[in-house]
Amino acid sequence: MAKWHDVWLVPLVLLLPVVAWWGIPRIPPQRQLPVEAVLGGTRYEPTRLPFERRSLSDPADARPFIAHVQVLDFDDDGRADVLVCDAKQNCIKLLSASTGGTWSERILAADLAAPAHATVLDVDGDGDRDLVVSLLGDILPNDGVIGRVVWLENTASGFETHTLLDDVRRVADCQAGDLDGDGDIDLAVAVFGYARGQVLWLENRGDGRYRDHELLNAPGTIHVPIADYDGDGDLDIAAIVSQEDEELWAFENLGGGEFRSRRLWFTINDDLGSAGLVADDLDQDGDIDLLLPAGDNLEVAHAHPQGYHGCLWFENRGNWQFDMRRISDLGTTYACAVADLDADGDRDVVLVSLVNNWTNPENASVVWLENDGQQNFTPWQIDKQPTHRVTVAVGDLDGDGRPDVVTGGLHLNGPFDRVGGVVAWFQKQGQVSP
Amino acid sequence: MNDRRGTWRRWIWRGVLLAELAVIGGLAWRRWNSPAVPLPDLRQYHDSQTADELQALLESPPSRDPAAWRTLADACLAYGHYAQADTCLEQAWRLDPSRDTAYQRGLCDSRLGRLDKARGWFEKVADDSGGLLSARAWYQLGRLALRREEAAAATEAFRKSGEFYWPAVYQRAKLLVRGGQAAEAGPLLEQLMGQHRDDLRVWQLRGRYFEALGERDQADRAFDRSLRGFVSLGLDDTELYLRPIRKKYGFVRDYGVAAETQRKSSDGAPARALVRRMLADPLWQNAYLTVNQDLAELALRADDVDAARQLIDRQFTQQLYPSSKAWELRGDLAARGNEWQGAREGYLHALEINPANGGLETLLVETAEKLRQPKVAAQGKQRSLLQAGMEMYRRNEIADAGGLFSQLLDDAPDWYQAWYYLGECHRLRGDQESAIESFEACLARNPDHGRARRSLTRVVGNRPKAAP
Repeated sequence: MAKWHDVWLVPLVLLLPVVAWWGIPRIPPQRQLPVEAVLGGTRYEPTRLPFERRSLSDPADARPFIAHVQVLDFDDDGRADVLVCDAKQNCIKLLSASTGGTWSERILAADLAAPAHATVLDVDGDGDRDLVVSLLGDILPNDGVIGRVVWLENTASGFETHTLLDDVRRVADCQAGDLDGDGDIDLAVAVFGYARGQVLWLENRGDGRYRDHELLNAPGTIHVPIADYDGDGDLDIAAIVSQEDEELWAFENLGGGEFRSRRLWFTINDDLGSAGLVADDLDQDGDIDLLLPAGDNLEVAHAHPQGYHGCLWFENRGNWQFDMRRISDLGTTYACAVADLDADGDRDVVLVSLVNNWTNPENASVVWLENDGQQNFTPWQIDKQPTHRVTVAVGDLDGDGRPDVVTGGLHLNGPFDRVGGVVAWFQKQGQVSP
Repeated sequence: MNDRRGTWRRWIWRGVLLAELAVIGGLAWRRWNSPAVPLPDLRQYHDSQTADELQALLESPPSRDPAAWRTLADACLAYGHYAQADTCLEQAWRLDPSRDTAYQRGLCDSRLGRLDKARGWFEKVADDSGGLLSARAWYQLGRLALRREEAAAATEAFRKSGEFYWPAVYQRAKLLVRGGQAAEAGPLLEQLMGQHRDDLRVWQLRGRYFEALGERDQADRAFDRSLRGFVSLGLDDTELYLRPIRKKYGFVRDYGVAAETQRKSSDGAPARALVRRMLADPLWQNAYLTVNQDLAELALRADDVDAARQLIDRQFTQQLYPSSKAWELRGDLAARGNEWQGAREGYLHALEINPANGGLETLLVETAEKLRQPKVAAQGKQRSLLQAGMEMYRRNEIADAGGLFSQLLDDAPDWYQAWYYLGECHRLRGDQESAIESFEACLARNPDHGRARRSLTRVVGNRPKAAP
């Protein structure tokens, strides 16, 4: 009589190859190949200024697309508010603090296609705050004629939308100032587009009518800050062009609605990724300098920090001469704001990053550059999360006299484990021990 | 005798079993010791299907097949997992140090910002053979030199890319125009014009060229023409390489297959299956921004109204993304149920967000007719004509566009935009007097139309002077 193991022998011999055929590929390989997990991205020493992070916006939005934030007292209650352009919810929101320190959210205007920037001014001279909003039409790359500039008229029943400019490509920015010296407020407009774009100025013709004038035909204009760059008493326009070429332009006001175009700087590195332009007297020498955050490579599906990203400072040397100096190497720098963060009397810079290689959880998302008073800057890391920051503003959000930092996130791509919409860092008293 | 035979047989079977165990053990050991690519948490980047598929690929990497390692690297590159792609390419290179692998490694290092390393790889590929891979490698070397702001090196690399590698010809011309040597760019621009006559970038560069030469009128003409061009010249080799790879994996592939099947054979089954799967996917928000509306459109075409409704509701309430397309689909859903008022509201919201969408005007006309609002329908038809004309104009179909604007203005002469575009059509066809009339008609209705004013100035300036 055959023993039990002999009975099973034949089926075992026949089955074993089948089991092996099925099972061996399922064995997880154990010889881990070396991956340079920290490929790219930047991180810095933690800041010694004490900050407390807090989310101000509705946590229900799992993938926020915040295009712009600014700090101002919009409702005249003596407390700072945050005005937000939400490019996914297609609306303008106002975040306000209550006396207890909690923040609430109110939609001021909806059905606005991907608002990129809101300018607060009294368009109709009726004594209240209106909004002029730059509409991209689509936050994603698009060369269609889908941009607009709209005036949100502040009325007793809410904000009423009027179109000031249409039949143009995606509009990224609109700034206000009396550009022709006739006493009313005109507008400078950055038509970003994608493959085609423009810089325009809109001449205020009264009664909410504006006449468009083209200053430059070039795609990718992001910001058009207005200031008296040459100190001659009238307002000039600066513009950063970023798409096909990377160029810094100025439009010198010659009076009477005439402008002279001046290309102040350019680089042949068309991948630099200029991401914005901020006018500020950084060295406090009485003239207006320009700061350029660089690191917008969204034309690439999955951008990665590059060695040339960071922040460029254009020091105004007078007579339309600007000296460029790189003051930060933060990967994929997307926005900057200027303020005296440490209350030592000089101008510091806050920067945020869009995709600073988030596979390394130590990489910085928000940093500040400490000015030693001689424009030598030391970078300090404020935080490494939330990730994907594209806009930043500084203001005293809690009324304690210290500047706080507020940012907005654009979560186009993963990782989605450190998501944040409008997030603030409240500066506390004292110093963090090293 | 039988016992002895049985014993022998048993020993043979036992022997076979032992041999099998030895082989299987060896194979299992080899598998256990085979190289593994460390994974990021893919579920933080992708929808479930794409994450699981990429994870399965990376968990079972090929051990000795360089082509398979390169395919794996492609998948990682396409989805932005550059560190993993780098590891896979290192394996491929060890097994087969080919030019193709070197080129891919160059692309990967270029994306990672390791410009020196990338240059080293492309230099291994670039030679004087005149082959396509070599031309592409020279082009990449030129792009790297641009990123390092080394104009001379960039020019040389683009030159070596060959006279018929058009992106490189474009870059050479651009460097000349921007570098103060515009006059030398003329022949290159002529070559480009011969090959890419409608490319908007070529027209823009031509505009810059004439600007640099001080020929303002020619420059204006070129910029003007660029507004009616399109992109035929791809300048980003890397994106052109990676884009089709993304369509080979996960949800994006299945979406493409479902849409294509539906388009070709009206078979909605794959679409319905995909829609159901994504409705149940807890990671749907990781897919991409327009995933719900894209799937809802697919579901509607497959007559799966319930699924379309669920997707659009999800887009409004969970994704918080009230896009123009989502409102339009809400309108479509209402129209399917003959709820014409609801349809009209949806379309109006959609149009408010995207006023340039001429298709919405047509839908609004249909709903107005259903709601028996003849005045609204008539106005909608006019707006629809205007949008259609503008779209034709932008496609450089000047004669047809002009016909539409004339048709619209015969019925409704107050559309100042139509007068402006009709003027442009006349101007482009050389009918200056009609152009002036049209621009003046536009300005009579909207004196602040800046472009009409500029065009009028231009046409009047170009008018032949009367004989003395």
